[in-house]
Formats: sequence, C-alpha cells, structure tokens
Amino acid sequence: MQPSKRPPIRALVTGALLLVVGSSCKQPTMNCTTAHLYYAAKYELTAGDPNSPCAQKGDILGMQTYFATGGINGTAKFSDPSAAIRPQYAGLLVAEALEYPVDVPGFTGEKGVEHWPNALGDFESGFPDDEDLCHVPELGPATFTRPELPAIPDDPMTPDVDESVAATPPTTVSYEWTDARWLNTPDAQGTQFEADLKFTQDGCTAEFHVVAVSPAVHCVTDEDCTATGNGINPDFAVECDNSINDPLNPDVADDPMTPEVDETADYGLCILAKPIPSYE
Amino acid sequence: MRRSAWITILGAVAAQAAVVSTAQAGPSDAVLVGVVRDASTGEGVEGAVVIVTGEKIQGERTMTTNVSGLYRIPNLPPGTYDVTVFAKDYGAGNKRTGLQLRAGVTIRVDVSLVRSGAREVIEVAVPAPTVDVGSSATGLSVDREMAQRVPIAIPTGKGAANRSFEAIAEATPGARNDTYGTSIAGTTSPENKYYVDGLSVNDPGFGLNGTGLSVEFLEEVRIEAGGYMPEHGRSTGGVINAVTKSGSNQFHGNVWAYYTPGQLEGRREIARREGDAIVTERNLNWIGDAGFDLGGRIIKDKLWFYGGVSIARTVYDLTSSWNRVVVDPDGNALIDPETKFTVTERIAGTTQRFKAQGTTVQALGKLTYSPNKRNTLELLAIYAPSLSGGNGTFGMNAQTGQPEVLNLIGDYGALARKYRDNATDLQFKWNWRDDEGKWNFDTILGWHHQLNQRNAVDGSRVGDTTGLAGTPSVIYRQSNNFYDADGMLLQPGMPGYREVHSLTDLTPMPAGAPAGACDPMMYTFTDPTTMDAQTRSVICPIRQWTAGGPGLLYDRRLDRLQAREIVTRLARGAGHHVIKFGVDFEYTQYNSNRGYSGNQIYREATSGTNFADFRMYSFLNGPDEANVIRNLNWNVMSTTIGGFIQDSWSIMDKVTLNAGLRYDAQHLFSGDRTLAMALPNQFSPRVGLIWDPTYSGKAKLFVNYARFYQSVPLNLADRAGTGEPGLQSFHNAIGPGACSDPLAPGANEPGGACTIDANRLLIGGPADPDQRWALASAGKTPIDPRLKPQSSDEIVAGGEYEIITDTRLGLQYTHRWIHRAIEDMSRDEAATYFIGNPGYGIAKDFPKAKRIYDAATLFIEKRFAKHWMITGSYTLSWLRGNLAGLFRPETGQLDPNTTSDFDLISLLENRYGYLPGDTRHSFKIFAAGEIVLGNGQFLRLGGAFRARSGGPTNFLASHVLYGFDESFILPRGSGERLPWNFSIDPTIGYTKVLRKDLRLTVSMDVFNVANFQQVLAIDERYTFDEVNPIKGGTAEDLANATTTGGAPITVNPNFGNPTLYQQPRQFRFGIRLSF
Repeated sequence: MQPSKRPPIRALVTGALLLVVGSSCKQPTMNCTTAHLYYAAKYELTAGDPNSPCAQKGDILGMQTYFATGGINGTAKFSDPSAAIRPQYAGLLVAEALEYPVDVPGFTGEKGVEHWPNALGDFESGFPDDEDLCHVPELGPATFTRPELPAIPDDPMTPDVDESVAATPPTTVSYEWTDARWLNTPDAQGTQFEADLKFTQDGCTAEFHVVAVSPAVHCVTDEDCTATGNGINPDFAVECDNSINDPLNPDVADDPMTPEVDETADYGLCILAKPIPSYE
Repeated sequence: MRRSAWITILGAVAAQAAVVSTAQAGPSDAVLVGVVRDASTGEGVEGAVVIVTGEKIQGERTMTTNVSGLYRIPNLPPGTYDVTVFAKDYGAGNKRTGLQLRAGVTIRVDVSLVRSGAREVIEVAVPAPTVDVGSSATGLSVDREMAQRVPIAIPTGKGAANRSFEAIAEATPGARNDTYGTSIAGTTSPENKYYVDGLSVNDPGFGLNGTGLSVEFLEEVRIEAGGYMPEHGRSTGGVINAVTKSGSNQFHGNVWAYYTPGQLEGRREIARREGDAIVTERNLNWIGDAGFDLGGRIIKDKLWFYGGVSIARTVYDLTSSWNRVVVDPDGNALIDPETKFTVTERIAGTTQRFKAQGTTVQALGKLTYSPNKRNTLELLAIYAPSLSGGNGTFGMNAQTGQPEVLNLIGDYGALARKYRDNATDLQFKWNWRDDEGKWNFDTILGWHHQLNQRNAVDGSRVGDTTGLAGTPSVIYRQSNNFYDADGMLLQPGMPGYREVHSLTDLTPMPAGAPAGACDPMMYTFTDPTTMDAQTRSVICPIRQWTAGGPGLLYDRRLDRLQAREIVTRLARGAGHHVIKFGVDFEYTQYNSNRGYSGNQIYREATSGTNFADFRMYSFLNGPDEANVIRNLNWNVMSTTIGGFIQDSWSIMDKVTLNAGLRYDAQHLFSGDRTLAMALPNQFSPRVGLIWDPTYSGKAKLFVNYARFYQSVPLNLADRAGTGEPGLQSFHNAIGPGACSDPLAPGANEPGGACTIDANRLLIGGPADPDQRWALASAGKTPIDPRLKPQSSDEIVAGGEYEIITDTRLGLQYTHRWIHRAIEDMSRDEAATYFIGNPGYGIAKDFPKAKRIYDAATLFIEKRFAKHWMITGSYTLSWLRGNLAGLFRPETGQLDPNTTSDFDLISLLENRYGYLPGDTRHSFKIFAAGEIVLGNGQFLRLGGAFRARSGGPTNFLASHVLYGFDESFILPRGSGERLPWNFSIDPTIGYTKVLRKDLRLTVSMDVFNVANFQQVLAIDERYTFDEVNPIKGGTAEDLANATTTGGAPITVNPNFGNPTLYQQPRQFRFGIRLSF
C-alpha cells in the first residue's frame, strides 16, 4: 500500500512515543527510623569483669525516632531524624522512684525526671546507606543519679502488719551508645539493631556489643521465637536466649502443690541468631 | 461521477451488514466499513463512491473504494445514517437507509452491485445488525430511547437527583449498586473507568466518578463489563463511557422537569433497635431536576453547537425525638418480651426537624467544527457545581449521595457541615482522516478538575482559628459498668459503678418538653440475658454524643490532564485488518488541605476518667515534645504513560481474531515531590476469537482472555505515601484543674486545662522514651521493592444469536480473578506497616489476595424499533475471596489499596468467603413500548423489574486497635443469607405531537409500586466486645467463645436485626417538550 506522506510521520511519532514510555522501576527508599515496639537486646561483654554486677546479659530497649521541625507546611523534616534509646533497666529505676509511696527528695516534683534514662543522638542521614543501614554515631550519655529512696516507717494503725521499708541508697547509672545502626528496609523497618555500649553503675563499668530485635518476645524455647503472629518477621534468624531475664516477666518455678505438672519456665528473650542483617 | 445508463440493482443479495469490531475510531464514534462487490464475479469494485448522510454529520461523507472494493468511513457520531453507493457502469445508485450506529461499534455494510440499466436510485431499509460479530466485549449499551423510556435510575443513591450516567450502569447484567456507585462483574465501583466522550473523569484521589453528568445530555451510555480491547486500560472494573449529544444542521432541543415528592412515598419500615434516647427518622422530602438543551448549526455543514443546563435538588427530612426508658410503678424498667429490647417512649415536645439538602447545577457546551472532509474538531466544556449543608441544614455526602448523618446524636455544629463539590471538564478533540479512509488519527486533550470542600456550617474553613473550625470536636461516650472485677454486681455509690451519660448532661432539653422528663430516678433493670437486677438511674441514656466543632474539614483540589493519540489503519493481508495503536498520557494531581477543627478530636474514655487526643495531626521532635499541625497540606501527583497496539483481523469474513497488548507505567509522587511508588511494566495482553457460524452476521461464538491493571488513586500517595503524622495523649478528667471538659472556655487554648502537660497522664512504660505521648502514625509507609501493580485476569466466553430482527439472545460466562493486589500490611499489630502484594514478595507470609467472580448470564435485547424494546437478563454468579476491592463494604472505608483488609495478623483468619457483592441470582428486565393513539398521540408504557437473591452476612466483633466490625469471629459469609428482594418500577406516559418536530411528553414513573419492604441489610455486629477470629469456626462455637480478655461475650442486642429496608414506593413525575 502507498499511504500518503503525512500519516506515516504522525504514525511514527506515535509509535516512537510508545517505545519511550516508562521510567524508573525502583521503589522509593524509606526514611530512617527506629522500630515502634520494644527491642530484645543481647549484651555481649567486650570489656569488663563478667562476674561484676554491671555485666548484664541483655535488656529490653525502648526507642523512638524524632524529626526536626521546619518541614513542608509546618510538618516534620523527615530528612533530619534523631533517635532515643531507653533501657528498661534504667527506666525501672526511675519508675520505682515515680511510684514510690512517699516523696523522694531531689526527685519527686522535679522537672524532666521521667526522661533521665533517655540517650539521644542524631542520625547521620535521613536515608539508609548502601547496606540499608541507618547510623547514629553517638547517643549522648544518659547519666543520672537516682537519689536515695527514703525509709518508710511502719503504719502504727495496723499493728499486725509491718509496712516498714528500709531506705534504698542513691545510685548512679550511665549509658554511652556508639556506632548504633538499624537495618532499614520495608521488610525490617529498624527492627534489627546493633551498637556498642559502655555501661557504668556506681563505679562498675562494662562494655558490650549489643544486638537487638524488635518486637521483644518472651520465650522458653526457640520455637516460641518463630511462632506465627508473635510480631517478629518470620524471615529473621532468631533464637531464644534463656540467660536474659526480664524482671517484668520472671522465671516460674515448679509448684510443689501440683506434683504431676512441671510449671517450671525459664523465660528468656528472642534474640537475633546472627549479626545484622540476620535472616534465615 | 458519471452515471451509466443501463443498470440494475440486485437488492436481495445486496446488503450484508455486520458489526465487525468494537475497535473504535474516536472513543465513542462509530465506523462504517464494507466491501463493494460485483455480484456476478464477487470481485471488489474499485472506484465506487460511498456517500454517507445523516443528521449528525454535516452534508455528506464520501469515500472511494480501493482496489479490493473496500471502503471505510470513520468518526460517525452515534445516530441514524443513509448510505448510497455509486459506481461506474453499475447504475444510478444503491441506497441503504435507516442504518442505526451505536457508540463505539464498527458496522459492516457490504454491497453487491449488478451491471444494469436502471435509472433510479434504489432504496433499501437496512436494520443495523445487532450481533457484534467482531467483538467479545460484554456489557450494555443504553441509548437515549432506553434512558428516556425506562425508569432505570432510581431516585435514591449516588447521582440520583440528576439521573447521572453512572446510576444507569446498574442495568448491566451482573452489575449492582454499591456504596460509591455501580459494581460491575464482582468488582467495586472505584475500580471502574468513567469516561465522558472518551476522556477519564474519575476522581483522581479515590477513583469514583468525578463528573456525574445527567443522562439528558447524553446520546448513549456504553458499559463494557469485560472482554474489552487494549485501548481501554487502567481499570480492573468496567468501562463506563458517556457519549454526549452533538449539534446537527437541524435545531433540536428539549425542556424537561422531573419531580419525586416525598409526600407520596410508601410506608417505610422502621428498623427497630435497642438503643439510645435519640431516634432519628429520615424521609425523602423531594427530589427533582429541570433543565433544557439545544443543538443546531452555526454555519451549515461546518460548525455546530450543542449545550444545555440542568439543575437538580435533593431534600431529605431528618426528624429526631427524645425517648426515655419506661419504668413501671414498681420501679422496674420494662423489657419487650419478644425483642428483648428495653421499652422506651417518645417524650412529647422533643421532636426536632432538620433538612439535609443539596443542589447540583450542570452546564454543558459543545462545538463541533468540520472545515473540510479531512478534519473534525470538537470542543466540550462541562461545569457542574454542587452545594449542600449549612444554614441549619445538613449536607449530602458527595461520594455516596446520601445525607451525611444517620442519627442526630450530637450538636448541630458538630454533626453538620457545609459542602462544595465542583467538577469542571474541558476537552479538545481533533480527528484527521485521509481521503482513502486508510488512516485515521484522533488527538484528544482533556482536563478534569474537581474542588471538594468540607467547611463548618458557620462558614469557617480548614485552618481557621475562630468559629466552629477553631473549636475541637468532642466525643462523649462513657459506658455502663455494674460489675466489679470479680463479676459481682455493684450498687450506686460503690467504686467502679458507672452509668452512661444522661442526654440532659450533654445538651439542653428542647423547649416545649415537660420539665424533668429526663431527670434521673432509681429503677431496676433486669438484664434479659443474665437476669441480673441492676440498679440504674439514667432514663434518657445516650451512648455516644458529639459536641463542639465539626471535626475533619478539608479543601481538596484535584486535576487530571490527559493527552491521547490514537492511530487507526485499515489494511488487507489474509483478510481485513483494523490496526490501532496509540499513546495515552495522564497527569493527576491532588492538593489536599485538611485539618481537625480546633486542631483535634477529643474522645472520652469509656470509664469517663480521661479524654484522648483521638485525632490530631502532630509529630514529636524530642522526647514528649509534641508539635501540633493545625492543617496538613499535601500536594501529591502521579504520571501514567501508556500505549497499546491491537489488531482486529477478520479472516475470510468468518472468524475475527482480536489481539493486542497494552503497556502502562504509573509513578506516584509524595507531597515532598519524591517518588512514592513506581508501577511500571503493566503489560496487559488481550486476545479474543469470534466466529460467526451463520456467515451472515446473525450469530457469534466468542472467547476472550484479558489482563487488566488498576491505576492507584492518589489517596495512597497522600496518606500512606506522604504520611499523616499523629500522636495521642490522655488528658486527666478527674480532680481540680483537670481537663474535665475540653469545650470549657479556654480549655483547648495554650495553657488551658486540656493542653498542659501536667494533665497528661504518664502512659509510657519503663522503656518508653516518651512518657506522655504515644505515636499514632508517623511518616511514609515503606513499599516492598518487589511490588507489582494490582491486576485481574478474565476469561469470557459466550454466544449470541439474532432471533428476530433487532433482537438478540445471548449466553455468556465470565470468570474473573485478582492476580495481584496492593495493600498495606502490618506484621507487628499496627506498629509498622508496609505496602506490598499480600502473599508475594516480603509479604509472602500473608495470605494471597483473592477475589474470584464466576457468572453466567442469559440475556435478550431488543432495541427500540416498531414501538417497543426490551432488555432482560438473568445472572447466576458467585463472588468469593478475602478482598472486596478498593473499598471495604463492611465499614464503607474508602482508602483504595490501603484498606484494613490485610492490616493485622490477628485479623487475617476467616477472611476468605462469600464477599458482600455475592448475589446468586439476579433478574433484570427493562421494557418499554408505545401505543399509537392516532392524531399524533402516543401512550407510553414500560417499566423495570428486578429480583435478586440475598447476600451473605457475617458475625463481626471488635478489635482492640481497629475498633468495631473488624474481626470475623466466624468465616466470612457464615451468617444467614439475606432474603430475596423484588422491585417493580412501571412507567406510564403520554406523548402528543403538537406540530412537526414538536412533541410534549408527560410521564409518571412508580418505583417499587408494590411497596415491598424487604430487608436489605442486617446488623452484623455480633458483639461490641473484642473477640479474635475462631479459625474455621461454626455457629456452635459461638457459645463457648470468649473475648480476648477471656470473659464471656456479650451479644449485641441488635445483632441480626434489620438495619436497612427497601426504598418505599416513590412516584416520579416528568414533563418534556422536545423539538
């Protein structure tokens, strides 16, 4: 066929446009973030006396990501994040004072005491690096001294019960986090964490390499860590570490009243089985 | 041309007319093709002149046949045409009259000529073929005759007032109305592609129809339910194309008015419910529309115009009254022994009347210019503003077409809003064709714009700091508690004893009510389930009450820019080919400015001890350092570029092979202008085979396979792709200086009782860096790097036969299933989300998204001819799966691709089953006829009949994080089926021809003439308690089921009770003057 001259040109243009359609096939990179639920952390001692009271085995860590102000139309600047880490151990020291039945001089009514255990630091960048890691080189030391918890006298109105509590001496703790890094992918939104920690309490110092996974799941066996619906990504390589004890979820001893059943449960926490990225 | 002297016409074998393809030229124009042959040799006649005339085109269109006798005349607007063929040595001419061309079809008219000496033009009336032997598309075409003669659009629901074209799509076999429009082939309405003259008018944000154009302005509505060609894409639902009228050389116009009075409404069944002290009845006051249109020439045979204006108004009455518990003289609350409901009585003088009303104006103008035979240019402009609410009235929800409130349980200023919803469309089309009819180019440019505003009734807007927009919305919802932790009954005054609010605590009693009618009094309430005798005092109990400001306000501006170029080439080679290819570019933009009045919604704890920041845009920039965002303003956008190539290959005139491929790539961008989601590589193959066993265009057997991809509406880029940061704190409501009422003067101001940190409860655990604030949501939702676009696959097969002239009978089968879905998911119970394909990629541990639709349809269609028409269908269908589509019918949640369907692991069980759209049997019959009374008078009769078996129901419970109705206690669809429902909608009319081309028609449509009051929906909320799904459970398991806390389940007293009945009988009166 011999089409007239003009149509093929227009047809060619249309055809050429067809060939250049489409562009990027990559999905966007996510913003740096910590996970929103608690982490179960394994503390591996790198320096210090393993038998000292400060040589902890692990802990539950709470984290939060903050964003600078000054984003578009009064919103947050997602490119400028910072992180906070708060170990449960330190948090319990503060909580104990907060809930103490009598005023704690130097603590009760003081401003900002509830934030004492928070260590804060800025992310290097708003986006993960080539290895999908987000880095916070240093989280400012969380150092605080909880004052003495005063003694509580016996209530004279209840002569048959002794309510008296002895005074608890003041204690000073310090957490210094360095080289903190989080895996940040859509599959692991800050849920795998690694860092170095220098922990000091009342003159005792220990240094740890910390590996943590979120959410914190209590376990007795490894199977508990891979149970469907426990919140941990099923692709993560995790295992149960019974050496870590969560004071809020203590081990259970056998009940001597029920000889036929063994109630013993050595509770630990599910931790990452490998260095991050820890995948099956 | 020279007309020879000795000619005959071979009339009998002359016209072989058949529709050969739906391969459209313009998006809605029809194409005429055919072969002119020598009757004795069968050879094509070269150089024959084919002339087409009709009122829809200027003068005539002519085309000369090529060497094989083939001609092709594209771009014929839908209408009736005459075709005349002249050929050298073949006589004076051969004329075919009355060819009816519908939108988008390609009609084939073959002509056989015999050398002869006849001197007159021979005229043959040719009924246009009804069987589309070149297409495997399923669906329905509603032309002007059918739209005007049959009461299809019922006067309720979306687009009802102005009888919009989407309301008509429900007539399609297998289609049904859903919350936001019409569901086609088991999909949800936002999955449809809505076109006006071939350009998309979908709401760029949510996928709904953005321009609900009245059928009065339309020549035809074409609904393609499935099996469509690659030129249609970006939709996994149906394709609904409204074809506007055009001007012609003759002047034509209409003036019309329709009115549905509420006074003539049939008796309404009222859903009886255990409930509150406020009962609201909703009744239609009136609904109606009026308008005119006019079309004609500006320059004869060159320039034509068409235009019109329509105004539609909907008014509902909302009547609320106060009710109190009936207490007998012994101090016992009365319980209805049958329903187990608490007996209540209306308090005299408490009736309050409100209206919910809205007005829509539509104006349309169109110019068609044809400077010469090669070019046609068209300019179309539509402006459709809507206003509703304000000045003491309630608004109409533009997305559903219903009043914005069901029950008036709150202050007017908190429940009512003022809406403004505008749609504007501008389109330019240019068609160029060569003289031989081989090449055809269509260039289409379009702009669709929407403005959607939700303002406070006092006129204050989002971001304002004064008036209602500056006042927070507060939800009071204290609950009853008559038991202590050990299950022991509590008495008034004991710690933990609590009652719901009394209405008079929250709002003054209407003037005119007897004083003290709601005063508390001690009475005994015997719980009908537990038989416990509870001591209560509140006799006007209210479970929830909203006060203060109107909550969420917004100002949304949406734009869609489109450019399409379609090239059609007619070719020969082992048969005839209609080859089409094109490019299709779309840019959409969604500027959403929204905020909560007074910055937030406060919600009372059921214990009454605190108020939560239920909704508040805010973020943290340090431990417990919250930043409140008064109004969140994002501007997100998307680009889609695509193209297609298709060939409709007619092999030996017996078999047609339609094959093609479509490619699309969509990219969504966040409010910060970075990429939000990439959806490239949408390769949609389509292949179909059609065989005409009669070889005469009277029958077809067909099979078609297609893959469809779904565009992602911008709501995803706005909410998940950019982020809606939110925080929650809990304000202590007990004690001196507490935040006991957020609406108290100054309480919500800086330094006020409800904004100071001292009143925020310490909610953090020992390891939480923030002790006063909890994160509700933060930034963007990450996307699975291996995300694939959402798609469905479809196989359709069937057959059709033209049983008598103008009438075809058909049977077709559709199997359509979701291939991949895009949804958001959380593995850690709402702490973090990601967007992916459920069951694939990083979401491979989630169940695959499923929606499987099977339907067999038997249909008959006789278009209007010889004074009558009928369209009827019976559809047997199944719809199973775990994903309904782009919205959640159970809760109405319209968040395309980010519904709560796959969000939480704890909710994933029991989700597979019969979906809400599952309708086993559906009958639809639409018929119309007219009786000639003589003397230019006609009696019009007709009507619609629908019958449908009932849908599935469920056992739903609450979820700790997601609230009511999110947990399927038993597998989806385990409940008892709803009953069948029927409706008969007859119409009667009278037409009088006043003088030539001037006729007056009066009509009366009666909807649901028998006033059937069948149940359309029941309360599926089995309990208000939090209950986890019982995997594969049955009704027997319910007795032993417990809440997530281990307590026995309290069954919702309203469970299984009707919540919705059929619309009562309604009359619609119409008058029309047409010329």
